[in-house]
Amino acid sequence: MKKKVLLMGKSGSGKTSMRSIIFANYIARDTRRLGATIDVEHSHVRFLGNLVLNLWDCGGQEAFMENYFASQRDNIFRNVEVLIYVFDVESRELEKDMHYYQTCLEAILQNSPSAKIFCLIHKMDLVQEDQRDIVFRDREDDLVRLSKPLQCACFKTSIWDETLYKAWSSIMYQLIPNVQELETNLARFAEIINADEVLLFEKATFLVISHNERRKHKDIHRFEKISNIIKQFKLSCSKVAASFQSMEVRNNCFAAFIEVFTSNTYVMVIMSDTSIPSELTLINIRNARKHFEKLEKLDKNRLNAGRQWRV
Amino acid sequence: MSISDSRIVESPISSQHGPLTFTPTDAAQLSKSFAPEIEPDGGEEKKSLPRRSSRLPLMHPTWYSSSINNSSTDCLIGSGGSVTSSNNDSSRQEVPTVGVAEHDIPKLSVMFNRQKYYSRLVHPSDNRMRIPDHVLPASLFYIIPSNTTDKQSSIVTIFAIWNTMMGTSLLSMPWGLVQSGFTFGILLIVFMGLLTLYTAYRVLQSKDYLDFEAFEFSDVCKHYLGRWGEWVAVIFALVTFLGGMLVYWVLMTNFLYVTGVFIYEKASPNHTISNNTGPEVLCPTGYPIPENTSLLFEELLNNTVSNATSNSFYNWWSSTKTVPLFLAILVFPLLNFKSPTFFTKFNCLGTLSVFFVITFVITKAVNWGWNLEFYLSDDPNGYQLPEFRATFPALTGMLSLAFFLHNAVITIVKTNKNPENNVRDLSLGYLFVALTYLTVGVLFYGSFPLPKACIASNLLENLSTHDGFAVAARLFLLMQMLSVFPLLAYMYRVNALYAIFNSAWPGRTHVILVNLSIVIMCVLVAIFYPHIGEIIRYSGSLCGLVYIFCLPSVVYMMAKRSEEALSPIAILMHSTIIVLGVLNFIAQFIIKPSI
Repeated sequence: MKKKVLLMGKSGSGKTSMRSIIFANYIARDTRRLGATIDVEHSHVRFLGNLVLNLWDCGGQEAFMENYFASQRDNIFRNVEVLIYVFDVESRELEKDMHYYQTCLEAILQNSPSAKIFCLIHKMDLVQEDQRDIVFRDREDDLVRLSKPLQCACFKTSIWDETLYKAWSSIMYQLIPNVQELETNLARFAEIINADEVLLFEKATFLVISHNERRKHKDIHRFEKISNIIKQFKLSCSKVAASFQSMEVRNNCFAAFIEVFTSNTYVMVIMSDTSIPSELTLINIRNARKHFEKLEKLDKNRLNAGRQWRV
Repeated sequence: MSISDSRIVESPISSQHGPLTFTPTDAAQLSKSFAPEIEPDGGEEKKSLPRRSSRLPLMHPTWYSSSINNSSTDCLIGSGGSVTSSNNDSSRQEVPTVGVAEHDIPKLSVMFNRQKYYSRLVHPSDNRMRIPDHVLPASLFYIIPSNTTDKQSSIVTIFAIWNTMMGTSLLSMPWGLVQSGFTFGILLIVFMGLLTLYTAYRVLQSKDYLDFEAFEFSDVCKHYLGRWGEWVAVIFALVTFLGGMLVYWVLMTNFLYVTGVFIYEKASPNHTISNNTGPEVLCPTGYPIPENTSLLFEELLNNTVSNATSNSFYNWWSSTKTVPLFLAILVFPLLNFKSPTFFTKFNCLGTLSVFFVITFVITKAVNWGWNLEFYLSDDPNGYQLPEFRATFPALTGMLSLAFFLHNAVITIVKTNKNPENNVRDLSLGYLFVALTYLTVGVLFYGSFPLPKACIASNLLENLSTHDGFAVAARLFLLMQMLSVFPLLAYMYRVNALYAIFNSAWPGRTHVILVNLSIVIMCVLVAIFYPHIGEIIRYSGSLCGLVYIFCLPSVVYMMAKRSEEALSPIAILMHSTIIVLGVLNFIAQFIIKPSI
């Protein structure tokens, strides 16, 4: 059964843009709707193997909310793995926002009590830089308080700085069950093939799940930049109905390889020793792939077993 | 705030942040982000630190960058070195930040990467994924110096013209009249005034033929004559400044020396001169005085001799040996400031000192009476007052520097409130300058009681060290020159360094080296060749050749030719002007005026 990731929030809080950016979806020209979403937007984005993203607008007309929401509630909130709730920092109706949020939490508590909850305080670029931390801490305290007995993790985000990417990377990181093991294995892999850096990306979003840096790099924004570049390439590929599979970039300073790795991940290997032929690195990656897939399978079984017990 | 350029700086940061390649579509998309339209720069890859398309003119506001925070006075230097600050105080002459601030580069680089990606996610006409204004770093914007809303009235412009042109040539005017003969000298002053007025008018007009905004005449030259023309303009501007500085140094040495002597003699107990009122007038040129001079002036020779006593003070305080060095020690630290704006505050001293000199000359003239007829009698000794002398080029050489405004005229006149009065105001400015020179020259010359050949090229030398007025004048002028000299040195240094290193402050060592070279040159000249008349006429005729005679005429003829409106008469007239300039220059080497 497919597990859901619910992306919820008031209309206009930025969910569609967020989804589009993270998942590299083209936004149709006119998505400005005059009212609340009547139906939940099913997106066919699958990520992390068995998760499906559903986007829901919360809010709008009161009566509508009460009726439709109430009747469809169980349907929507069953089998939820993750709830991502988006708040607009500029919203003038804080009370209402909290009210809707709490309604969603009640539904989660009833239907998927083990779901992980993330709250994103979005559009932070509209707040003055020196105020941002204060405003965020404020909201965070309120939300943590309101969410009890459930636990929520809060992030401040904006599409115009690195916070969105970091927040989603953190979310992705928490959704991956065996990430510590992955990281140690990645470190060993990097040692063996003598790479400058090895990165692991999630397949659908190209969010960096883990990375191992053997040689320091000055650009702290490089992860987001690479994700953006690859997503652009993916968009171009999809225009010709091709799917992105691998990439090699080489010049006299470095060689970079982006390859499919496991069923959920891509790997990127940076080699600064350009005398090593590409084939060698590719063979290494292929061999490592088998090892990591085994890791993942092991863990999937562990995970599924765990999940069964939790319900 | 209007957005003019947004340029991104590449390496050495690119190695850390990745290359910033800017394709045409990106430029187009980026430009749509801003409400006011910017012009995306073609599609060229931004490879180098952006330079302004035209080389900065000789006196560009950016050179005051680090100094001017909120003060926005423009500083101009005219020939001979008086300084004026143009009165557009409220003009937002902020520094255009050429290039992006270093700390903003990583932010910009990732912002750009994001924008590229986000814009792929929506339809091009969709506004939602455009970079909002508040997210862009401020260093992407620069404030274009606006057309100043604060314009000056005509009177202020005329005064600015007068003030800038008034220089130390004022002190040499009587000497110039001696060299050229009285009547002919007056005619020459008038003629040169008119000629330089005409070419100044041409300079002013030259920027009207261009469709881009030229800051100064050197921009115009660059446009018409290319790099070569620009270099010519720069080199000759340097010569002008250098000439001014040498003159200033010699004068300062002289004033310092005389003031020192005065103080010493006042203070020392054994006064060589018993009566305080020594001879009022001296003849430092050594011209023999005829016997039938008034007794009042007999002791002058005694006075000159007494100075040569082997008094230990005079060994230490010699105007040709030690005073220049003392002056160097005093002045050198002043030259090493990064910004000259401190010195521009003393700019009012210049005007005051000019008025002081004029008043002083008038007073002396009244005292001495009119001595013009003194030697018109058929004196067998031949002390006839020449109406014309063959050494007149000395005067024309001097006048080339005296009427020099051409490298600043555009900037001064630009702020005139009613530009249609530009010609009138320029003419009036020149008229007043000519009148001032004539007044000082004629009055001093006419009333000078000794043979006119005694008149020194610095008229204050003709007055005794005890003359109260003269002492005050020297002190005043010394202070004024001390405040202007650093400005001249600054203009020289900035022009030289910018031309060679493309930066006005390439490093402390460079600056110190340039300043040292200036000081050494000045000291050498003060020791071995302290004849300001000579310096003025040589440097004046040289710069005049280029700036007053050649460049305006050439530029005008080229402009007219590009319009196909060049008439033979214009060619003839302007070629004559050029020839006159060349002759003026050559003549300086031929004649031997009395020093």
